[in-house]
Amino acid sequence: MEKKEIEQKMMEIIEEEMPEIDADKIDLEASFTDEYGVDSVSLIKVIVDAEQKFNVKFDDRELALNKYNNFEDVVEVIEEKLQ
Amino acid sequence: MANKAVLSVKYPAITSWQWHATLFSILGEDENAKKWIYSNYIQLRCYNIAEYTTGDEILLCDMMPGSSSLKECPYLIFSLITKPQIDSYCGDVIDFIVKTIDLGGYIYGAFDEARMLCDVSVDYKFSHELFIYGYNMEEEVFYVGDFTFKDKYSYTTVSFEAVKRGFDALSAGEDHVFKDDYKGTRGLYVIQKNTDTKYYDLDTVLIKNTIKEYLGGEDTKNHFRMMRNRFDDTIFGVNVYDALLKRIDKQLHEEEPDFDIRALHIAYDHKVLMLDRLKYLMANEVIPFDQAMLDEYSEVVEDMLAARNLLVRISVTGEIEAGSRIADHINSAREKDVAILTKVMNLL
Repeated sequence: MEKKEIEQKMMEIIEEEMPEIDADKIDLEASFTDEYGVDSVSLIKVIVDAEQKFNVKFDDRELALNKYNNFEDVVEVIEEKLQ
Repeated sequence: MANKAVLSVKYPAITSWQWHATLFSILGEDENAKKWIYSNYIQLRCYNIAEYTTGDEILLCDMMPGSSSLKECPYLIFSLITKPQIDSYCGDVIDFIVKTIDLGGYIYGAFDEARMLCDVSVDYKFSHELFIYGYNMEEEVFYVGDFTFKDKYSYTTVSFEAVKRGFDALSAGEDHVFKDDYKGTRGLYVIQKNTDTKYYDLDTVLIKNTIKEYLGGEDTKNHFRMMRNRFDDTIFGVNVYDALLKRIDKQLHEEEPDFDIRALHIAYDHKVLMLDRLKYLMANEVIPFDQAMLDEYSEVVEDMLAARNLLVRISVTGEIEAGSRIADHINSAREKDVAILTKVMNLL
C-alpha cells in the first residue's frame, strides 16, 4: 500500500475516532498533543481502529503516547508493518 | 490588583493524583526542592477503599508522602483558610483568590467540578481538588491545573463564574479535602513557594532505608502513625505489585468489567520518578554513573506503561483475555525493579 493511501485512511480514522477535530484542518505532521489534544486514550482508540483497517498489530509498548510526536509517526509505523 | 497575574508552574513529571501534580507543578524544577523530592516518594502503599464520589471499591495506591505532602514539604508555606475567614476577609471567593495570587499564593481546595462544567443545577456532585495559579481580569478567568476539563492533567482556564459556582456548591460536609482533617469545615488551602533558602539536604540514609523497606514490602505505617492510623489492610512496597495483579484480575472478571487505571498509573509514575531519582543520584555522584542501569530501569518504566496502556486498550476492545499480558508486564517490571534497586541500595 502506498504511503499516500495510508495517510488518507489515517485521516478517516482520526475523523471517526476524534470527531472533535476539524477534519479539513488535520495536519498529520503537527504535534498531536499540542494541536489536537491527543491523549493516551484517544491515541489507543486510533491505533485499535488502524489495526482493523490495515490488518496490522501494534505491540503493547507501541501504544505509548511518548513514542509519537504526530499522526505521521503512526503512519510510518503502519507502513513498516505492511512491508 | 494587576490585570493579569500568573504564578510559575512547570508541567509535572508525575500526574497521578492532584496533590502530586500540584506539588510538582510548583516545585518540580527547583534545585533545592529536588533534594527533598528525591529523598522521599520511595515507599509505595495501597489499600482498598470506597471511592468518595461513587461508593465503589477501588484500590487506592500512592507514594509516601501522599496527600499530606503539600503540608509536609519544607519548601512550601501551607495555610488553611476556612470559608468563614474568606467571607469575612473578602466577602467573595473570587476576590479572595485574586488577592491571594497577587501575594504569591497558589490556591488548592475542593470544588464541585460537575457544577463548574454545567451551569444547570444537577443532583450529582463531583467534589475534586482544583489547583489555581493565576487570573486574567479582562477575560475573567482563572488559570488552573486539573484532570477534569481536558480528560488528562492539563493547564487550562476556567471562568470566574464557574469557580464561584463550584466553590459555593459544596457545603462543609461535602468538602472531602477538609472533612477528615478539619472536622467537617469548608475552606481552601493557600500554598506559597519558599525555596530561596536550603532547608533540606539530599538524605542518602533515608533513601537507602526506604529502598530497603520498599524491597522488603515492610509495613511502614508506624512511621506515619502520628498523622494517620485508620487503615489496617495497607500493603507496602513491592507487595503492591501483587495487589495490582489481584485487583486487575478482579476488575476484568466482574459482571461489568471495571477499567479504572488509576492504581496502575500511580505505580507507573512511581517508576518514572525512580528513574529520575537514579539519574539525579548519578549526576550528583552519590552513586557511580551507570548507563546500563539507567537503560534497565527504563525497561521497568516501559513495562508499567505497557500494562497501563493495555488496560486502556482492553477498555476499548473488550478483549478481556488480553489481561494475562498485563500480568506479564507487571511481573517483568517487578523482577527488574527488585534487581536494580537491590544494587542501588548496596551502592548507597
